[in-house]
Amino acid sequence: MNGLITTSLQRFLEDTYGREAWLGIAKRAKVPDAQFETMLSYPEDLFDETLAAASAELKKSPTTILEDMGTHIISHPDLPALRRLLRFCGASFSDFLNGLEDLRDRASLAVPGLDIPALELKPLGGKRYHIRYNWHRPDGIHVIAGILRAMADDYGTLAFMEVVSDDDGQPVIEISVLDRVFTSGREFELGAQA
Amino acid sequence: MSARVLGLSARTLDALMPMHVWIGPTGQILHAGRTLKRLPGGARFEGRALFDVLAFRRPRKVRSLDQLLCLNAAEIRVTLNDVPDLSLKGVVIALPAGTGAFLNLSFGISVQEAVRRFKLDIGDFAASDLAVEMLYLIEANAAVMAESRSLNRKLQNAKRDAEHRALTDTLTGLNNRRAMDAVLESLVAAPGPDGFGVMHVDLDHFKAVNDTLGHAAGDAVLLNVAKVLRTETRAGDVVCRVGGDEFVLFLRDCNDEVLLSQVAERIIARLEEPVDFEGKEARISASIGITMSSLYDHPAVDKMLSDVDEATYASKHGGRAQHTFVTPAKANSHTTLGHKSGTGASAF
Repeated sequence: MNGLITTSLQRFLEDTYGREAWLGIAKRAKVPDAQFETMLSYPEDLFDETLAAASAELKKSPTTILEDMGTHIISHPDLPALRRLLRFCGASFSDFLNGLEDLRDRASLAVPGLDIPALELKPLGGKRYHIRYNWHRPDGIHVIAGILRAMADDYGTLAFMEVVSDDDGQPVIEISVLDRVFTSGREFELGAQA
Repeated sequence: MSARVLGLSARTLDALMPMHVWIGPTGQILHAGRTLKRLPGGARFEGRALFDVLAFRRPRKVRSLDQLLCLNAAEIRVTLNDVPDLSLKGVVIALPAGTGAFLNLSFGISVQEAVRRFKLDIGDFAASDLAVEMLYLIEANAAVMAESRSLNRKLQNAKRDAEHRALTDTLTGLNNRRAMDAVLESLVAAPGPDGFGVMHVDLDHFKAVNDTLGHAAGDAVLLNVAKVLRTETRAGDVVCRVGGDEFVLFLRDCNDEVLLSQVAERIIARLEEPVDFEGKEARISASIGITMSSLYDHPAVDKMLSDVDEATYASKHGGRAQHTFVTPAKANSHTTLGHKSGTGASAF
């Protein structure tokens, strides 16, 4: 598994619950040197071990941890890169949603070999959408839900989202956009400050 | 085939080409694209003469509409007079029957700088323009590079730490000084029933080899020294290179002065055999100091090392190519110097 994903989990746990809590989780999961590196790859088992250890130590469900991790990597001010890169997908939250299908291609353009979920937007009429999800890890859908929640905030759009099952019994993210411009959102200047 | 004419509104032109300039038959600007209007001075472009608001950089000498029309479909470089340091690239199209010209511009490679300076937005680019993708790539690349640099820095530190902790001399593969300290400490802590011998080997004339034949010859000599010291000691003994031309040997289960003398003499004899280096002979010898844990009532690391050092010094001063034993009196006092117990002949 790409180190970007494992490091995201570490950053979320460390930023939210503190260094000590992370060291306890890392020890329990046997993370080498208690440190993931974004530029390295790790066995997927190690991610599972870390998630299970976090769930046990923090007494939170793995799905909650995954969703919170998705939100964290977008909303934490120390991690601006991903949020900025996602903002390039569209000028508004609905443009962003419509651009989600290109996300995989964008990711591999940025980091060759980065494997992320395939997403497909299905409009349900009104301001409701289903986002279909396809990846080798079904639980990754919760990370995507967390990311989308944070991105809606970032665009200043009031949206409600939930992981549900669609008519075929497949897990999907259901999104209801309640208000297109809820707040002014976070500032996004196309040109990054050097 | 018939020529088709397409009537486009200014608004449509803006959506397709937000950085266009439409020039009338007399050379004045009829319309400027909406993104161009966001650049300094851009809001006042319309109605002015083209060559009052921009200058051609490539080709250079384009100063009239006629010259401009000759560039039909060619790539051009221009700068706006209000932003002379930002090069724009573009293409000129001559409109039919002398009705003017059409210029479509883009930021080219300066897109990131332009976006930053003029606070442009996604909506300022045509949907078909790759500018936003380019900005995305520039940022993705910068983020990945930053991560890569950070990992490289960590790996570099780890490498330095590993080297710092290393116990092996990289040239000869012998133990280094750090290893020697550790070995001596553990031997002193548990000398065994027969104790152990310590031999300090200081090469003679090694500097001369380096100076006359060069460092490569010096390295060849050191490799040979390492080979000699390894073969003249037993498997359980420890050989360390502790300085440029200094070596320390630990000989386990050994309290026999005669045996140690024989070993020292054999080492000196073998080190005096010339080493061939690119057809030239490199010759060295060695001065040796020896001590044994059995000489001490209370063997201590620092004391044994300083004694053996003094004994080596005595060998040097006694004319080199010889070995000197630490005396039992010296071993248990702080005053006298070791006595000479060997006088190896030297050709030097």
